[in-house]
Amino acid sequence: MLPDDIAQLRKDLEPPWNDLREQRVLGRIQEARRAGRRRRAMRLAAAASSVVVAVAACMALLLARGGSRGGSGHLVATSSVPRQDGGQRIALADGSQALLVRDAQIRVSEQTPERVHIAQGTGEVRYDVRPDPAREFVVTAPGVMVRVRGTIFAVAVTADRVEVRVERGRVEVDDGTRMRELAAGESLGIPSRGARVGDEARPEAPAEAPTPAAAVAPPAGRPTFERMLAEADQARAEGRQDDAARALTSALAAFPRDARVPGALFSLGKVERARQRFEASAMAFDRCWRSAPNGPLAQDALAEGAGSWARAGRSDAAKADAARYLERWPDGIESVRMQALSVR
Amino acid sequence: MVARPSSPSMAAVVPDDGVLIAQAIAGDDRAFSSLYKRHARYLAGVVYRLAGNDSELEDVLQEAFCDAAASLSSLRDPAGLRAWLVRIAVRRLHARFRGRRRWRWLLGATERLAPTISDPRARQRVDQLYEVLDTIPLDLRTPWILHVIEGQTLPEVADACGISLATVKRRIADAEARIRRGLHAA
Repeated sequence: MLPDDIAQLRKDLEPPWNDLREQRVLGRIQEARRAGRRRRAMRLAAAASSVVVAVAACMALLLARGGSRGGSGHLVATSSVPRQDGGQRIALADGSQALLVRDAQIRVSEQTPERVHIAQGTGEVRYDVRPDPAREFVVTAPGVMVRVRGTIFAVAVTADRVEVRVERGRVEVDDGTRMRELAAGESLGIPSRGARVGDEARPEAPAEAPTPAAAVAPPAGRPTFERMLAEADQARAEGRQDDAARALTSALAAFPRDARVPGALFSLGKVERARQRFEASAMAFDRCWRSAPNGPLAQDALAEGAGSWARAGRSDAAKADAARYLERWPDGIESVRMQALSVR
Repeated sequence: MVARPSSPSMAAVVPDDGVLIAQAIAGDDRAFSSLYKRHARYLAGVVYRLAGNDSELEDVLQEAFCDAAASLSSLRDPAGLRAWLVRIAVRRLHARFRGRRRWRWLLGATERLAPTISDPRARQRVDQLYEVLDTIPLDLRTPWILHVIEGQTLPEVADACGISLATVKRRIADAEARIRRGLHAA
């Protein structure tokens, strides 16, 4: 056997390993460790005395009271009221409202004080979003993501088109290829990519109040989160950044509560940066750390977000992220770079 | 202990494994993630070459790092972290594959080979090597790959496989003999 053969063998057997896989496995490890901690906690709880049970009951009561004030970070209530014209009014706990024209369908897939996410499948819905800079309000329709802080706008979904109209304030519309900002009085029509994205955004049931234990498992026949990540993975490996961004955006829209969302957002941030879409990159990184502020990617995401904001020319946002980073990780790996960004 | 790059413009302050291990043991998930990021790619390469295919790479890596997280406090020498991770991964890999009557070591690998060698004669020789390696038992192939392909020393291989130095030498020699016979017969 020749050394050349060994060298060739070594060269041949380089694993198909990349950032996305690395993050995916990291997410699985963290989830497994959390599950282990939960199991240990449950065993401890099972061994606890009746005194502890009584204390826990008191704490649960206190937490429940806290939750009703909407400040705990957990899901909050939604009510649904039929309208005289046959439509429906969905009142969210933050004061925002969704007015559904007849046959419109939405699904409130996430509702926390930090983020509200609504997947709109069909029909026209008018959203009256109560202003709140601390809360992100996102509506996804087939192939389109609309992001606002506080405004009134309508989204109409037909078989081949998604139309966004703004009545008050500003919204950001992202169709996976570029992001545009619409002001009051403006509207935008986007060809629907229903074949790829519509299935994911299609609601599984008519609009109704979400439950904390809402399942994220897709119905049979729909692409899985895993498969969509693999698509993005493949596209990145082949340098097809547009396809990678599309796959990741679709995965995030379809499975907004999947445990791997932070990893997908982190990848999206990198993909958008590769596409020179620095603002979109920064927003993806921001969503990443906000979605799991204590997760394994939070520190990197915050640093990457600051870098992307800086490259987008948004020094104010870059400084804000850098300051957040330094506040949490004053001796972090990126602390020197963040200090540089924070004084620019 | 902190390693500082010489160029201030690079400016990254990178804690070494010892610092990160201490932080991870104290419950700092972020430190554990840093350790993972530092060693995952290397370990993925080792596991991939030992398994010979990609099908369970992520599973083995996940199990190995979960095991490592659970017993990190038992690691006496932080400088030996990488070798320790390899040992855990080898154990996990063997636990997965030992019970299987047959699995194709070169599954997946051969699909990716064609573009890497332009000389058909060289290609044929390496293909024969793959075929021969596929016939060698896992217990023999693992020390051989760790030593010959990964470049580990014999004591490191012994440590990774959890066997004595004498056994490592014997198994590598056995593997070499089988490879030579296989290549000669081909």
